[in-house]
Amino acid sequence: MHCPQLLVYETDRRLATMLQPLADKHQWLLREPRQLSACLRLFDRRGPGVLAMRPSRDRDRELALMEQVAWLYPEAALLLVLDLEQLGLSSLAWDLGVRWILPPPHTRERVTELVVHLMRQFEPSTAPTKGGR
Amino acid sequence: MSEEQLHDPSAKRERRLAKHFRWQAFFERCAEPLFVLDRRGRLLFVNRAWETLTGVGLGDAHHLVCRRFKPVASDISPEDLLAHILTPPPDVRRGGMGRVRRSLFKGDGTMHRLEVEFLPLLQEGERGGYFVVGRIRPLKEDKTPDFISISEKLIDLRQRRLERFRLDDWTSPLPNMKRLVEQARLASQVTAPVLFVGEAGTGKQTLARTIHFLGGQREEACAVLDCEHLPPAALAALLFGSRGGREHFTAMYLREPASLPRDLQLRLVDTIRGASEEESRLRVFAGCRQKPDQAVREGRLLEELACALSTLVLELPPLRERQADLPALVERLLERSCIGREMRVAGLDADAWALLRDCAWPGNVRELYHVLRSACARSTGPLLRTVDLPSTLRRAVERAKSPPNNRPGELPLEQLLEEAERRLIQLALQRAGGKKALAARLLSIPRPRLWRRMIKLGIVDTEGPDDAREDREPSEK
Repeated sequence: MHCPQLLVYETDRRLATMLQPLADKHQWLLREPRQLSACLRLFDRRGPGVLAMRPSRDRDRELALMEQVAWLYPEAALLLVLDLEQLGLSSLAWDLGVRWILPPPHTRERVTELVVHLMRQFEPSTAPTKGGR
Repeated sequence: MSEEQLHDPSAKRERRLAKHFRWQAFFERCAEPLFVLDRRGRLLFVNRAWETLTGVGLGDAHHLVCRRFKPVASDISPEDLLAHILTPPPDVRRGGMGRVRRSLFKGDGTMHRLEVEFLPLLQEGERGGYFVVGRIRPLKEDKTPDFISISEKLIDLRQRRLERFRLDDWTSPLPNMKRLVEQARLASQVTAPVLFVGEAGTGKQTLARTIHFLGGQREEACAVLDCEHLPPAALAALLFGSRGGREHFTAMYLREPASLPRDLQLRLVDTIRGASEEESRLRVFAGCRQKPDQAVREGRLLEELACALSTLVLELPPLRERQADLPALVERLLERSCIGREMRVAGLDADAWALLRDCAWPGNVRELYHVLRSACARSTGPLLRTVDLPSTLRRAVERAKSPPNNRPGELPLEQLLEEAERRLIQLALQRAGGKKALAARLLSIPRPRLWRRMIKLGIVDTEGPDDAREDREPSEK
């Protein structure tokens, strides 16, 4: 049985470092792909999971990746972690198919609660996810 | 724009109007800003109210091509901005009415929100096409334009995303689907709450986005909120908090609202009722797997919320009732499945088609998409074969086809043992990746015996053809 996967896309590993103990505790597979093809390959091989993204300066490419993942894996849970609150970017992200936008502050409690809830649907012990495509 | 151009002398204007047809004089007297586009999307006419609103005279805007969407940013030229505002949505170019909300930046840096309505009028003659009469209505809500931080690439990305959700994709010869499309078209013309009811994977969320992108609020964001898998506290902060982020979207799709705690459901009722009285409306869509009255009876959904959400109820049929749509669906989903892959798959061979038709599709369109995507990953040619389809699907179809082997109350031991043996062998083969030698070791039986039992039980060896050939030789000796 594949363990559920949590993909983290960022430049400075801050989020991944915060989530690694949580992943170990819940037996999630934490991966840090840097390219769209790698993201798609991981979802293809192991089924959809959570993709947490902290956009850097290359926002255009990163949000394009997010849109592509949302289109190809509609049940993947996309979490956008923003360092700054921006009305325009948040509005755009909702339209691109993100499941949740996390504005600052990114405290461990907030991130943990959100990721645990989102990961629950991909854990094998729970019933298969159902709902709108 | 010069001051002289902005304020045409009225005498000159009257002289110009005298040459015009009566309809232009009629429009000219209209208090609402109106404009007319020709079939190529060129601006033919604007009235005085339009000139006052936009600050642009007809002389400057005449023959402005309004055919493509331009980014909403503060630094674009006035011509590009006007072209963006007056560009009809794709449905209008196909003859449907349309309404969009757009932003107008004026020279003093202020932004005005406008609602633009488009009425296409079919042109006579061989050239065909549509004239478009447009009306602009200024909206009261004026927001600070943070869109300026969004690059043109991202605006284009959003536009591409919008184009993925087309009502044409729902076109079907089936009467219930035709009714659904008409209901969806109606829903796009109003801002009332819409409740989508249908099994998992039928496309509730997709249809909600399609309706949103077709409607007048298409320029605003639509958030999909998963009430089942998001923390209730975070949802409450977003929906009812003072700085929760609700200003980031003007429409929302609530997935399984019955999963929300009752206090949140109650507050949601107030929000929906309050939204219907505001000038800037929050459009609410919701999707449920079961009918709302059933969820109310079970005590999971508040009756008030069910009522508030059910202004329009759209029922999506399961895929097993849409056999006639299967070819079109498969074609479209195959195209989507091939994104990001080197190999392009054009279709399915006859056997694979038969298998798809025989399947009951409990997971509906979503399951069909997953089956096709995984088959495309396995495929080595332009046509998908039965072996490319997941073995679970093949087994499910086989099971459904086999007649019930006992009457209720009977326990035929032989049949049950055979069935148990068949399942164990299939499981061992699956775990061994189709290799008979390894499967036999897992089952603690000799390989020739496994082969004989497979023949006896009619287990088709499709998992590992190379290994099967190797295995067959010794047993045949």
